[in-house]
Amino acid sequence: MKFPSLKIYNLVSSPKVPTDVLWDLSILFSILAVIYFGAIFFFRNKFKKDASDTASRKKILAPMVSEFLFYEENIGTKEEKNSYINRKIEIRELIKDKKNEAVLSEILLDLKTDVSGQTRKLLFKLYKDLNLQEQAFEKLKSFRWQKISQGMFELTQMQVVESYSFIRRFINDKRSVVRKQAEISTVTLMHEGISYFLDTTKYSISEWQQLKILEVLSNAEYFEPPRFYKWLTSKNKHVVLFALRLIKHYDQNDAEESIISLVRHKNTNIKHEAISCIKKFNFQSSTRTLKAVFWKNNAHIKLAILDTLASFERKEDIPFLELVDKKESNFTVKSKALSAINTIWPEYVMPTDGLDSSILEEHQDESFEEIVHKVDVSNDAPDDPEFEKPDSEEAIEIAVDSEPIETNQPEVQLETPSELLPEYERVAHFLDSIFVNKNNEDKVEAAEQESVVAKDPISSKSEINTPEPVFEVLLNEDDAVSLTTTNSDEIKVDNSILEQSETIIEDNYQSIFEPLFNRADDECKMLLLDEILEIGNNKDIPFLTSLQNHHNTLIRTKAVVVKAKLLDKFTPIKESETLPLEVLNLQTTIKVEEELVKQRVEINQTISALPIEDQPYLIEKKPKDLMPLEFCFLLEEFDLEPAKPLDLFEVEFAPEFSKDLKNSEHSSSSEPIGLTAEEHTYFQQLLEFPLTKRKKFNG
Amino acid sequence: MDNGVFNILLDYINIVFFVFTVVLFTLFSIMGYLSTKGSLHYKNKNSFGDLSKVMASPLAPSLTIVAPAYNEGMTIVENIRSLLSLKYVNYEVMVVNDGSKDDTMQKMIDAYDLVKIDRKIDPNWKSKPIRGVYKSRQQSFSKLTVIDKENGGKSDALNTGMHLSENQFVGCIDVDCLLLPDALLHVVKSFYQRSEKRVIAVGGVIRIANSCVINGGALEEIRLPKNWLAKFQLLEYTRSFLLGRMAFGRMDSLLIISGAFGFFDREIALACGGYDTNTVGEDMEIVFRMRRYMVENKLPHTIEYIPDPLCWTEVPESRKILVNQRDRWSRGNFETLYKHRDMFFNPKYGRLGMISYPYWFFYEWLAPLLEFFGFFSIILFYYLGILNLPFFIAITTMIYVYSIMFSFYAILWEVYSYNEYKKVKDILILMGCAIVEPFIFHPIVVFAAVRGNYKKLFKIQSGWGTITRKGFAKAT
Repeated sequence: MKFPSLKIYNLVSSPKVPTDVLWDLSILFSILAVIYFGAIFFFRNKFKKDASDTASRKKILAPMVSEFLFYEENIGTKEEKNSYINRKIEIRELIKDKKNEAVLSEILLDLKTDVSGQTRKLLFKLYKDLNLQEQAFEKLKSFRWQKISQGMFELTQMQVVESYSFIRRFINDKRSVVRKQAEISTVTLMHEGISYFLDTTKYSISEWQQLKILEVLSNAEYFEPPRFYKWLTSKNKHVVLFALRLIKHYDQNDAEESIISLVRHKNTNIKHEAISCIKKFNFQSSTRTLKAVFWKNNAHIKLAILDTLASFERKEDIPFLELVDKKESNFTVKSKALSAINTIWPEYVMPTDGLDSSILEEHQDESFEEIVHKVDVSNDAPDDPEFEKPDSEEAIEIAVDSEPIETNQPEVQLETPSELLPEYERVAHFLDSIFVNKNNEDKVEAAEQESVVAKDPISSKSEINTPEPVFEVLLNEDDAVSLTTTNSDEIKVDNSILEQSETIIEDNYQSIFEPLFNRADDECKMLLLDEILEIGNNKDIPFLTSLQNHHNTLIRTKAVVVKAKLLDKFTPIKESETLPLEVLNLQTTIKVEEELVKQRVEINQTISALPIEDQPYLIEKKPKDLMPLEFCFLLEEFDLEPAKPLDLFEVEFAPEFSKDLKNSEHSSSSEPIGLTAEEHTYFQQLLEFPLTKRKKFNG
Repeated sequence: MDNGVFNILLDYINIVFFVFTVVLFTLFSIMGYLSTKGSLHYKNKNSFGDLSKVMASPLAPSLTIVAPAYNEGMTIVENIRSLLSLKYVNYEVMVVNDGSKDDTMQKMIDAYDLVKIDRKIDPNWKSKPIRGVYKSRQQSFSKLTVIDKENGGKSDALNTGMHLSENQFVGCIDVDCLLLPDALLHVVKSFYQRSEKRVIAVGGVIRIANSCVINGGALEEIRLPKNWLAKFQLLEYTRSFLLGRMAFGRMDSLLIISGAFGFFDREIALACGGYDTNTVGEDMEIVFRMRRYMVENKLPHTIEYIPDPLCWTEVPESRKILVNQRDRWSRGNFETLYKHRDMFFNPKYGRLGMISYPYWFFYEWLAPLLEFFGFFSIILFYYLGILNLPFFIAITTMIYVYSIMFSFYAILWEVYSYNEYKKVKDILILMGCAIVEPFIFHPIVVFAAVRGNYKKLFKIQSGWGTITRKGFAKAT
């Protein structure tokens, strides 16, 4: 590669770095290094010397101060008084030296934190007697911000009230340190200082400053706080915020409307503080506003609103909280909404995550009353303009109010899709049958004793137009259908009665082999099927039908065979007869007696239903704790089997027993010996049950 | 090659070095000036008043200190005790056991009577699985929460703590750090003293605790480290924290908060996604991201810096551990700068884009590489006989003298402001360190930086490395 000639290089030649400059700079830096070296030791020694000098001066001045503070004019002898006066003269001489003056001020400032009461007052008096405030006033005239601040601090600490008018002029000083110290001093020196400060300040008040001022006010003696709502209209948003905090701190709940309106403020801090006040003062009239602004705010404010709604403990807010749970994307807010619901209504929301589903299913299969029912309350929805119903395809909500239903209220029409006829209607029939009978008061008492509170659309003073197919109780939460009534009356029923009625259904159709069968292993099941064929009757037909879905092919096949043989053996029962007529009547009108409806009972359950579709009544049970047959009998013999929810209904209704009971009832109004009020109630219900129906129950 | 052209090239190389050095000196001098001004202002402003009066105020904010722990069994109990004894009312100490392989968790359970509690955790939150959340049965340790999780690294542990905290501010510290009792009061003051700008983070000085007398989690006596590497690091930390960061804090251009002592506005930190788990320079990266978030959303903000010596920590005393630490720092630096490269001289980011980022690029990342290659170039040039010896000697002397002067200035400022090392001998030793540092300590740091960059460029897998703690209790 050939480069151009040297002549051209001269034109593009580089500028030379003057090496001399580098050496000069090196020398300069060396000198600076030496200066710093010297400065390090200079300052070090200076600080050391200053410290020892101050210490030695303190050693002289501190005992004098102590003497002044603890001298009592009335008690002292003449000599002591002379000594006191001499000391005063001496100290005055000493503080002519500026350093001594500064040290004395320092001693008094230090002492101020260590003494209280009368001694502290003497300290302040001494400070003024020695005219130490003069130097502090001098500092106020300085142009250096740190001097001015120091002066104000000293005057404030020594309670020189005369300085108030001098200091408050600095409240709107441009220099932030001066301004902040002036604010603190103004508030400290005079009780009306806080009013002056809030009226006058044009600048922002930092959080830290608010914290310090509040601390000053809290420690002020005999402080009568002004009504801070006056500053809620200030144009300085920091004043508004601080006023809100002061209102909260001093429990001034006389500005409800102003505070509620501040929830709509643009400033997040003001909004948050207003909500905080609302919560503290329990301003329940703010609910609409809180709900209205909820969606427009950040998570922080949303949490505060939810917290406030929870503190109100109004059941009317539950639909809103449920809506928040459904629509909100922020996990914390969702959790808070659920927490709020449970605060308002404990255990309204049950844990669902992390549960063993198999156990749940078994549970559902085994016991009817452990089904989790759920009824959404939404009666305040129409009143709330901001309220929006959740878009749930499945849920039809039942509007329930806390008010008792009046007997003369119009009947409630439950709008139920024909294809979704719920199983509770079948249950409802029994309720109807039971409820229309006498002794309703006893039933309610029994319900109260059980403390089972439930809301049931069935038991309301309402008519339900039930569609054609019969529904099977499957108790599946996933297939839950909630119903919405057209009115918002509270529907209350004794849930225990509902459960009992279901047990009636179950018991009257239950094969005696079924409990053993459910606990037996497969081998024993086969033996039991043989036994059914031998000694079984038509009560066992539904049970055998249920076995047609058994997972074991052998059992399934054998069940079909046994069922066929049994049907041949006995007059077959038509499937339509396996349920009471009332249940099959799809146009059933459920009427609940006035006395029952009046009882305040709430249902918190979701009732699931599926159409039966030509199947007989069926309760499928999963095998649990399977065991050889002898153990099954053993368990039964020793009564070790866990009690069913309503074992009472397993009692055979022998005519003698019924008669006895009736007789005892006739003979005396008191309860039969050995029976609880609850049992008594149910016995009465059952004894009065129509005979035809009872026969059907018994197959 | 033609001699003339070559000479011109060499001259230009000299000029480049000269300009680079002059700019560096200018920046350092400005930093010295700004830090002095900032420190004086800070000192005057805080010369009166009592912070502790407000510690129980109803307006005092709530804080969570998140301390990740990994194989800290030796010191964990003492360190937690120290954290629980801070002078503040409304705070929580959240120790995140990041899948320790030693007995860290068991020691905590035994010492603080911990029991597992139910705690709902956001299923959408991405971090390594949490094994359990523990609280103490004893009321005296009610401020303590321990989270046991699978190992996911420091960032993951900090993110978990940050997420599980419910307080307004979150402090991310090294569990082996010793905080002075007033530390939280200073932090709260820093967060709360601004009214026009939102303080999104607060950082502070890290002091060296090697050889200090620490008893029951409290600093009893400050001593100069006995180990020479620790002494050099002390000088380096003094220069960096008292001058460098103070100056950037004064300019409101801080782009880094030490991972050993950093407090964040939890809302903003979470809005940015918390710590980046894919970098080893997470403490720097989160500050970059938070700053960018605020700038891009046009939110007035600032980062406060506290020059008071509030946090004390042990530094490596072994060369190998030191090199690993600095290697990691340079990798973290590289990753962060690369990730946020669009900030480079970008006026949209104001001082951050025009001053801070370029400074970090040229003088924190590039300078060690230039030094390293410059050193070999000089040997080569000398061997080839083309070295401009007078220029080389002059500029080297100037740089050396300047470095000593700057170190002396840092020592002076240390004496003037806090005067922690009162013995003359200690000061003289520090000055001695300043004189020999360019020959002994600085090459180690440069080597570590080059190694870190080399690993990064050639994608050599390297993690955090480990540091063996002596434990404060034994540091007598």
